[in-house]
Order: sequence, then structure tokens, then C-alpha cells
Amino acid sequence: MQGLLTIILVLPAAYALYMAAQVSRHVTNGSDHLDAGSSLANWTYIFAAAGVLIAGLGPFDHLRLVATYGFQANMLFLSLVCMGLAGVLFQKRLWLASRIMDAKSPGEIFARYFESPSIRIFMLGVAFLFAVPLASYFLSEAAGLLNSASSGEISRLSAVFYIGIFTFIFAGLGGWRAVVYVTAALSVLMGLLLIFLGGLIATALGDVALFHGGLKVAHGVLADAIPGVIQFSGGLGRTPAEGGFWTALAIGSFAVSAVGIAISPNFSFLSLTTKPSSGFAFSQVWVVAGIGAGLLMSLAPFIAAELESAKPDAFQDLFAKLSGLDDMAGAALILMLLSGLLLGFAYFAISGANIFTIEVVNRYLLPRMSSDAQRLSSRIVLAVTFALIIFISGFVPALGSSFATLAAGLSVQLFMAYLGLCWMPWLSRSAVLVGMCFGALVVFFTEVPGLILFDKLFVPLPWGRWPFTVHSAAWGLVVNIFFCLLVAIFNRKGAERAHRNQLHDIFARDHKTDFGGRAAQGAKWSLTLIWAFLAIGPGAVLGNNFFSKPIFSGIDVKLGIPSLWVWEILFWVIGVFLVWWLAYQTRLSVVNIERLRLGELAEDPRLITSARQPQWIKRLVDRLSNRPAQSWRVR
Amino acid sequence: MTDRDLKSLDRHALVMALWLGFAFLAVSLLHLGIDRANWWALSLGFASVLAGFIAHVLINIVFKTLFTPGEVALGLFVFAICLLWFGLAVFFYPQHCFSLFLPIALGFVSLTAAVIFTMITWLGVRGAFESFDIIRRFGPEKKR
Repeated sequence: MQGLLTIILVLPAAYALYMAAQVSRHVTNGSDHLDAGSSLANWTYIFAAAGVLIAGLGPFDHLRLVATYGFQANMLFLSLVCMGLAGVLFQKRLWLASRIMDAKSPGEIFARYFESPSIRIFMLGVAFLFAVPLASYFLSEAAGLLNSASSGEISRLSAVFYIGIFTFIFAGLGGWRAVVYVTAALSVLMGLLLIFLGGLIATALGDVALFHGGLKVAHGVLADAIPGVIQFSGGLGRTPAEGGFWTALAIGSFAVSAVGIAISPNFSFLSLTTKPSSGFAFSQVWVVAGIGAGLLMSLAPFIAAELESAKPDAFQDLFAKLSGLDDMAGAALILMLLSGLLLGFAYFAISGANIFTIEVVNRYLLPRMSSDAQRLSSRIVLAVTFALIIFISGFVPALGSSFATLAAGLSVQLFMAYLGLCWMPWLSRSAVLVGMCFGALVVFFTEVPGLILFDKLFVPLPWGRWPFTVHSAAWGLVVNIFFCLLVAIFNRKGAERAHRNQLHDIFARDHKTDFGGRAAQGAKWSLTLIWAFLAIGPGAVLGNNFFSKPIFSGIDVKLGIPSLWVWEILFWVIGVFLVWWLAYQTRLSVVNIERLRLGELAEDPRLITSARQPQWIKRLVDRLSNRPAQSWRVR
Repeated sequence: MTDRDLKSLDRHALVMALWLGFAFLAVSLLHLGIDRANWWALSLGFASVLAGFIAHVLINIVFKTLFTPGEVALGLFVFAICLLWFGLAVFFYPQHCFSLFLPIALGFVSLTAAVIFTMITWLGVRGAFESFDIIRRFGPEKKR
């Protein structure tokens, strides 16, 4: 088995190195190393976007969650439809804004639109959380998985080092284009292996555990029902929720946090580096909301039913069972889990490093670098990022996993900024910033790092993580929206508004959306809200018995599968229809490049070359770079 | 890098990405089928190869290209090796292979049929025949 495991690891690694070598042979322009010349093909976005969103959600963790909490946790896969909806709402306009403003990264777009370096700093912070703590968490999990699959022959620490160093070499060699190619390939591999393993478990392992004994959920958890709309528990780590954690509001608020991944700077960087794209709509509708969500929600219970949720190494038994059937089947399980983890690790780490290079190094530290120097600087930033990740996942994995919990929650606080940029010019800079700050504070104090910090330094907070079974991201967003709207009431107009209107005027002139008549417009938004209420909101509790004990009939129907699962699949189908309607029919994700005027709101070139480097940074860089020559002269 | 180079690189990466998945799936299923003498798994293994081939043809259609010489050579080499392995296995282990002969043989036949069908629809009957017409390509007429 060790030999086979080595082969299945070496083959994708060889593929990654080969692609990196091919790209470096063809791409000679150094600045393309950072953003692939913003000319990635549509297919890369279609596959890679789905893979990154699913990896961000964490299939590895979700299989364990379904094994522990049953079908109430399986409802979380509807979050992928919400990610599709968020993509429909924002991706096209963000992409258009980047081309109209000639901006290369999400932080630059927002900073220039709101005329605020603070938003840039906030976005850099979020990108860092995805790039370092979250990537460290993925790397640490991948190393743990390899350690367990090889029965301890590959130690966790050495796996961290090998994977980390290999990924750095591959990314340093091939740059962003190679990273996206390999991300797309791993996404395809993960999807195909999921189908293979789901089918194998459902057909070849003898009695299907899901239908013979069901999911082995934790004690006291309702395996096939949502435990109420809300539970007034103190949160994780304080008081346990009865019947399981995933109440209707927990599911809905988790979906809100999933939207945070879809609007994170790291994910947005992928869409900004893609060519004029018909791939947005296809990816959002068919691959993310359609195939991705459908495959996971229908196959995950089969796989999860084979896991021992009570054991710390839940996958060990399934791995042994599959290896007993055929070595390749066992290897396929490991490869599927590893693809998801490594895809997330490599993508988030490298995108974060590239965003940092573009936004900080190329803009403030060394603004007039040559093309080759840009490549070198990106490699240096990559090296520092990977060193940090390897250190954290190798020696302090708890630090990575606790700070990783902040990534999606803080990212979703950008929601109002996105709304402002794409749809609502009246949302002012101060409104967005105030909302963001208060929202971020609430997220911090309802997540692990904030709770630990407060408990250790001051007094224990009365609430735990995710109080009242509501995810920290949703707590933060509610507070964010409240303060944002409150401030926006007082400064809706003013000089800043004229600046923001420039972009919205171009949207209105050249890139109109087709919401239809008043009735159609109302139908679209009301259907979306009704869908959210019934699929991931309080109405989801109706699914507990809707198909097994139909209301007013007084009879019990023997479906053979839980009513909640049927409810989930029904609302997945409706959700895909909804995303399709908005993406294609309303043209929210269809880009019309014929009317696009590149660089219409581009930055003044004089600002780019001289004025934008703050003087204190300039002096610091000059001092550091001139020091050796001066000391030589003194001697 | 020219647009043409970029397009060629994109096509190559897409082909590799799809074959990475389909080939691993095919190898897993064929291994399972041979190991457990399960003709369902074998059939699905060949179906995976066929799916990979169809995906490759679709890529050619989208990118308006043909199979590159390298791809043809690699495909023929792998196909020939597998066919040779199958022939030797039938010759040396006839009893073991008997139960699997039909699904494997049908798999090879269906792959060959798919390749011929593609060539005929893409190049026409004459073009498809001329692709194999080695006598004309290297014969005296050519030399003259």
C-alpha cells in the first residue's frame, strides 16, 4: 500500500511540475507571473472556481460533520447554491470594474472606488487570513491524513515540509497561470473520485451502511431532522444544543459565512485574472450550484455513513474497508481527500501572496520595478508566505486552525462594500467602513481567537462560539448592515458621491441588466427570498416531516430515505433554476465585451509612477538599499 | 508569448487536466475489475477511457484543432501495450482470462470503433483511410 500511495502522490506532483515547466517556458514576461496577464481561459475559471469554493467549504470536514450530525449537517451543502447566488450578484460587476478602472486586484478596486486605503488594508488582512492561517490548517490536515494513511511511516512534520516546499517550487516556477491550471485539474480529479467512491460504497461494499443502520451520529443528535429554528444555547464550548447544533438558523448563518469565501479577495482574484468571460455564468449555475452541490449532497451521506464519527481518525475504518476491497479504491479515497485539501492550501496561499505583492510591494515598496524584478519579488513573497505556513502547520497547528475560523466570517463583512461597488452608489465610504469595523469586532468576539483572548486576559465571556446556534459571520453581518445603513442615512450625498457615480454611470450606460418589468423584478427577488427562507432559513424545519408525514393527511409515508433529504434535493433543484434565471435570463453574469471601454476610469499615470509611494516608505527603502554602499565608503 | 502559443498552452493544460482525472478513474476501475473478476467495473473502466476520449474530441472541436502528433503517438503506444498485455495474458493464463475475455475484448473493440468513428466524421472516409495509407506516404510516388 505504501508503494501505491507514493505513486498516487508522485503522479499529480509530476503533473504539477510539468505544467509549471511548460508555463515558465512559454511565459517570458515577468509581470505575467503574478496575474497570468489577466488572460486565463474560461475553462480554468469554470473548473478552478468550483474546486476552490468546495475546498474552501472543506469537504474533508463536512464528511465528518455529516457523520456526526447526520442530515441536518448535510443541509450545509445548500451553501454552494448561495455561493453561486453571491457570484451572480457580484462577480461580473467586479470584473467590469477592474477592466474599467484598470485595476489588478480586488483591494485596488475597492480602495479607488471608495477612495479609502483603510478598505485596502482590511482586504489585505482578510487575504492574509485565507493565505496563512486557513492554508496552514489545510496543510496540517493533509499532513495528518498522509500520516494516518501511511500508518505513521510518513511523519506529519515531514509531510508538512515536503508538501510545503514542493508547492513553493511549483508556484515559484510556473506562477499564477500554472497554479490555476493545476487547481482546475485537481478540481476535476476530486469531482470524478467523489463519483467513483460514492458509487463504489453504494454498490460494492456489501450492505450499504446508510440503509442498514444509518448514520452513526453522536449521542443525542437527531440523525434525520433539523433540531428547531433556533436554540437559545450559550454557543459552542458553553452549553450544548439539544438534538444537534445545526438548527435552521445555524444552517442559514453558515450559508452566510460560505458567501464570505465567494466574495473573499482571494477568490475574486481568480475572476479578475480571467479573460472576458462567458465562464462566469456557466461556472456559477452548472458547476458550483448544479454539479458541485448536487454531487456532495447526494453522495456525502453514503460516504459519511461508513465513517466512525466518535473516533478521532474517522476515515481509518473506511480506508481499511476500501483497501480490503481493492488497493486502488483505498488510494482513491486518500487522493480525493488530499486533492480537496491541497487545492485549498495551494490556491489560498498563492493567491494571498500574489495579492500582497501587487498591492504592497509593487504599489508602495518598489513601485517602478522591471518585469523581471516583479517576478523575483513575487517569488520572495511566496517564500516568506510558505515559510510562515510551514512553521504554523508544522509546529503550532492550533494557531492556524483557530485563526482560520476568522477568515470567512471577516470576509463576509465586505458584503456591504460589494453592494456599494456593484449596485448601491449611495453607500458611502464612512458607512461601509463603520459597518465593517463593528461587524469585524462582533465576528472576533464570537469566534475562537476572540473568546480565548478575552477568557485568558480578562473574564470569561457569557457566550461561547456561535451563540444561539448562529454563525459568527451572520452575527457580524447583522451588526454591519445596521451600522452601515445608519451612517449611510446621514451622508448619502456629498462630493464623494460624484466620484462613486462615475462607475455606476458607466454600468448604467454600457452594462445594463435585464430585470424585466415590475412584475418580473418582484418575482425574481421574492422568489430568491422565499427560496432562502424555505431552503436555508426557518422554513427548512418543515422538511423534517414534509414528505414522510404529509400535513392534513394523517398518514405516514414510507419513503425509504429521510424526508429532510428529499426536501434538500428539491430545494437544490429550485436553487439551480433560480441561479440560472438570474445569471442568464437577467444577464447578471453575462458579460458584454463589445461595449466595454478598457481603462475608462484608469488611474492617472503620474500617480502610478511617483506620488503613490508614501514618503516614509520611500525613505525607509532608500535607507535600507543604500546602507551597504555607504558603510563601504566609510571604511 | 503570442496568442497562438497561449491558446496552444491552454488546450494542452485542459487536455492534461481531463486525462489526469479520467485516467486515474479508468485505472482504478480496471484494476478493481481484473482483481475481483467484476465485469461491471471493467466496463465502467473502459467507459471512463471512452469518456476521456470524447472529452478530448470536444476540446478539439472547441479549440478548432486536431490531435497533435505527440498525443496520437502516446495514445497508440498505450493502446498497443494494453493490447499486447491482453494477448499475452490470454495466451499464458487462458483459464484466468476466460471469464474476463468478453468485457475486455468488447472494451478494446468499442475504443477502436470510437476512434474510427471520430476519424470518419472528422476527416471523411477517404481522409481517414489516407491517414493509414503508409504505402502512398512513403512509397515511390512520393519519392518522385
